[in-house]
Amino acid sequence: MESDKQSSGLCAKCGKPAAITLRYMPADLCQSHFVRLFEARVKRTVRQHRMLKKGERIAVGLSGGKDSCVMLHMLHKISQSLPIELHAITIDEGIEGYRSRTLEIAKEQCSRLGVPLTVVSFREEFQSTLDGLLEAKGAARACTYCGVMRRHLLNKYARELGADKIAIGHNADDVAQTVMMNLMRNEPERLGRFGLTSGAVDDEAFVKRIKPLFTTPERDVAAYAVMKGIQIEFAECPYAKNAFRQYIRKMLNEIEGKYPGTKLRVVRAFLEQSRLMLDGARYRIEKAGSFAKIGRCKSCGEPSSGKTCSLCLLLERG
Amino acid sequence: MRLSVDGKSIKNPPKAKTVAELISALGLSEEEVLVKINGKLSPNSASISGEDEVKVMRVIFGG
Ligand SMILES: [Zn+2]
Ligand SMILES: [Zn+2]
Repeated sequence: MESDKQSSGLCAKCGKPAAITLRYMPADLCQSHFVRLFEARVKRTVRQHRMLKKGERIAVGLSGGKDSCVMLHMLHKISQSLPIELHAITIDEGIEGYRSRTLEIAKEQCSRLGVPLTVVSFREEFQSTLDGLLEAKGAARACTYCGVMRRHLLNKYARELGADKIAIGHNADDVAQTVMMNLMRNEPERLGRFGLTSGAVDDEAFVKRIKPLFTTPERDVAAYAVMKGIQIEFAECPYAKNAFRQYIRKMLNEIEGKYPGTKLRVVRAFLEQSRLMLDGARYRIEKAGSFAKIGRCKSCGEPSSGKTCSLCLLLERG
Repeated sequence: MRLSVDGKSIKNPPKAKTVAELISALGLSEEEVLVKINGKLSPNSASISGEDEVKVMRVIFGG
């Protein structure tokens, strides 16, 4: 079999029995060399993109899923040599049978690492759970609603905590998917906003977002969690099935199977082109006139490019 | 082999001599799984024998 040729069964660094095959390298690695590679890659990414500065307060978006738990673990590790202050924020969307489990994991992780945690719920903030809202609106745009609402709350609470940055657990797979989705929908300004270290728009009310795992493949995140005994929840969000993202995910993984390294190349291509894309996004935003400046939403007061922010438009308020 | 996928045991596991063969016999992709043999994470070429306890974990999913 083709994949057998790429897997010797022995660690490429030390020759001991391997624990994992990384076809994108390609190499087999033992557990301790995989852990070293993993941690060095995250630290290098953080350093190269100047994501963290001494003395900063970092709000950590903690969903309780494997990505954000591993990110918290890594940030905590980094905080032992670089003095930064971590404060986790978990958004409880109110998804029956899914969120309650990940919420428990988020709490366990934070108490294990001694990181303070703020839990913010849709029910309290929007007077409705995501389940309740979707009952009225239909589940077809679940991820749009959820994404806009979560982003809004994360930004608001990070700002209130006085955080300098928000750390988001997006991994290389997430980034590759988003890049492909935005290309296919021709939404360059969204891609600009998606920026890995800074957005197209600077505004004091927007807390800057960092993505320490964006060069790390999702499977590696899971492997690290397994090796480090970080609990991972195998349940999938019940609303995720319908999304365009799932289709792109499947497609990218099929290509990855035939051409290992594709996902990481998409991420690198995005990085290399993101400066151009950001310029393009700024150009389009300027050309659109009314979008040139970031104002405040007339309904909720949060930063918004239009008179009403995307959240209030979605919720039809204001 | 005693086989489980995502914690559910599989009654008639497919014939497979290696991890890579097993993943493909299950119709899964190497990109979306981790495999433990007798509690140890194992690379794609690791061989599987009769008495082994094999756990396949699908680790790539939404959320
Ligand atoms: Zn080694
Ligand atoms: Zn608003």
